[in-house]
Amino acid sequence: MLRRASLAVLATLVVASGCQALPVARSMFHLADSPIRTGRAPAPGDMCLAGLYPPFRVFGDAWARPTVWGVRTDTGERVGVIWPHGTRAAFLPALVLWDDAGRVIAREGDVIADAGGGGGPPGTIQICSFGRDY
Amino acid sequence: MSAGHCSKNAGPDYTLDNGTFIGTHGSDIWGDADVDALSIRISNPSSDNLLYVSEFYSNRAMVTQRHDSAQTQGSVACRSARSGYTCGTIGSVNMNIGTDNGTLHHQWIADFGSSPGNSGGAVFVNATWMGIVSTGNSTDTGYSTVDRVEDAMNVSVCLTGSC
Repeated sequence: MLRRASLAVLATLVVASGCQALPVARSMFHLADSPIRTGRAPAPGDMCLAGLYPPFRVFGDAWARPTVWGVRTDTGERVGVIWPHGTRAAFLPALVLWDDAGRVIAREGDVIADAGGGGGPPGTIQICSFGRDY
Repeated sequence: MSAGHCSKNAGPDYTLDNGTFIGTHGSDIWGDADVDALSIRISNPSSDNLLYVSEFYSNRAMVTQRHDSAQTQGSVACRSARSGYTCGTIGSVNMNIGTDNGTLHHQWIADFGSSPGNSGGAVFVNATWMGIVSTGNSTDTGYSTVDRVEDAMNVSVCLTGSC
C-alpha cells in the first residue's frame, strides 16, 4: 500500500514537472529576420528605405504563431512584423523585445512610432531601422 | 511625386502636412527597380510645382530641374524632408544600392544622413529640383534623380506653367 502511494506521488511529480517545463518562452528567442537580409544584421553602412511606418502597438503570445505582432494605432489593424536581424524576445511573463545590441526595443503594449524601412510583403511592417534624425 | 515605397502603407489620398488634400495615388515603381517613385494625381491646382520644405512647414516653387549630367560628384545637393533641411555634396552617382527591399538601381548618394520618414522628400538646390529621397542611413542619403524618374515612369516634369 505504501509502495503504491509512493508511486502515485512520484507520478504526480513527474506530471507537474512536465507541465512546468512547457512554458519555455521565459528563455530569450530570436524573431524572424527580414527575408532580404538573411544572415546579417543591418550594418552602419547599409542603406534602408527611408520610409516611416505608422505607429503600432506590440503584442505577443508564446503559444501563437507568429509569436509577436503589431496593431496599428491609427486603424486598429493587426499586422505582421518582420524585425531587424538579431531581434530577440522573451515572456517575463509579459513580452520584452531587445535589439541585437541588447537594448530594449519595446515591452508588451508599447507603441513603436519610429520603425523605419519600407520593404516586405503587403500588410506587413518590415523594419530596417529605428528612427533617429540626421 | 513621392517615393514609390511610400505607397505601401498609405491610403489612396495624399495630403500636405497640414492636412490639405492634394490628390490621389497615381502609379508607383519601387523594389528591385530603376527608381523609387510615386506619382500623385493632383486634384488641388494650388499644389502644382510645389516642393515640400520642412524647415518652414510650407512649400516652395520649383522652376527648373537638374539633369543627371549636371549632378556630378562633389556638387551641392540639399534635402528637405521629415527630419529637416540640410545640404551636402554628392558622393557617388548612378549606384546600385542594396536595401531592405532588394537592389535599387541608378541611385545618387549625397553625404548627409537620413532617417525614417525622409522618403519622398525632395533633393534640390534653391529652386532647382534634383530628385526624390529613397534610402538612407546615418551618413548617407540615396535618391532617384528627376531624369531617371521621368524615364522610368514615362512622365515629363512640368515646372514652368507653359508646358
